[in-house]
Amino acid sequence: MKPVHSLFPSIGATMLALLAATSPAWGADRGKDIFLKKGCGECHTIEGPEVRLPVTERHKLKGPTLWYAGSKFQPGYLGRWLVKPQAFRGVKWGTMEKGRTPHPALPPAEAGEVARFLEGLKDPELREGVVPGWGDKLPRQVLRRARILFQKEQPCYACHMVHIRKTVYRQAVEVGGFTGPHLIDAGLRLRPDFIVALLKSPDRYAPNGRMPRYGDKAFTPLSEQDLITLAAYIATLK
Amino acid sequence: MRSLSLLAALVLLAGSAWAQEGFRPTAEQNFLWYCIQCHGPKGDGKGVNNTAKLPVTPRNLTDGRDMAQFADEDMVRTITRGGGASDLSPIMPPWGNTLSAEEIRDLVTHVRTLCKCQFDPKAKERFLKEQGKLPPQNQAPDPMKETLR
Repeated sequence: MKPVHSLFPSIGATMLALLAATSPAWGADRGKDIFLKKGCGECHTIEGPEVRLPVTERHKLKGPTLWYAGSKFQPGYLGRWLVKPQAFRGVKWGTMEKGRTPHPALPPAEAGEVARFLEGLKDPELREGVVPGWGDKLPRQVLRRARILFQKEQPCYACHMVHIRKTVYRQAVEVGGFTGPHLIDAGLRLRPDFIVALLKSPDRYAPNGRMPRYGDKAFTPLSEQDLITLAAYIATLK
Repeated sequence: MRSLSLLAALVLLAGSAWAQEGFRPTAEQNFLWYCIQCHGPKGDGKGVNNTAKLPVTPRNLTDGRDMAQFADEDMVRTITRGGGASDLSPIMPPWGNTLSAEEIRDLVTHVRTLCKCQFDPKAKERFLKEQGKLPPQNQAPDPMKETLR
């Protein structure tokens, strides 16, 4: 039998490990260390807002900014994605060449820590609770209006791949373009409040993208309610 | 005097917007960033988003016979407000909030160089007929209508 005092170091180590696992701040710091050591910062910025570049300079950007990742992604999504990453666009980043930009995978423990760090990066100016908590059961009128907006008035699927169920296909089929991030699992990935914020303020969240600016400006008379409707609908795509 | 100061304010506003942007991209640079997605690098409609399951195919901007139906104002309206504003497909999105009025004018000039065409009212008439949006002229009177009278 070991003397009692020789157990103290192992008890201390266990307590430290427990503390590490349960303390978000510690996890975030460790996540940031991994983020920086693995060179993630070479492609992704974590400070924002991003500056709007002239179109001729935008090819220098190597990946999307993550300064508001915590406001953008659903909790838990990044941790799963980083273990088995697959780019969201059907074209290679910054090009018009079909294919997906490869992204390095992380071991599950590191992925969890990096995800915890990224989920802590929030935009304090992003309004939360804008989209009502309808979940997957949108009120019938909202769903009808959302489909008109998404498929007819501002056909988002021209650039964003989605699964659409059409009578002629009898089952859900992939429809849409490749240049925007696909929305096939957008409901699992994106926070609805972020979608509203992005549509309202693309200069803040995607100043260097190829997406036309919508918002409630002159040439696209989408009301605040329309933006909420669209976001709520996109959040049901799973 | 009041209109002069208004003009000065507008010039200042435009100037500050340009200064913020740093420079004004050429039409070709804008085309190769935004329009390329659907219309392709050559403007022939073979962009990467041109997939079989979309309800319409992006217009071939190099087809002079087809493009001659559009006046400059038609193109400005379509680019600014989207295809729906010109009775075309709404899949063409509005770019009026993304590009300035000058950039859109430059794009129209660029499209004219791609199609090597000018506006031809006859081409428009032909297109409308093909779409069934214009009744054919010199048509024989409808006997049913005559009977109903």
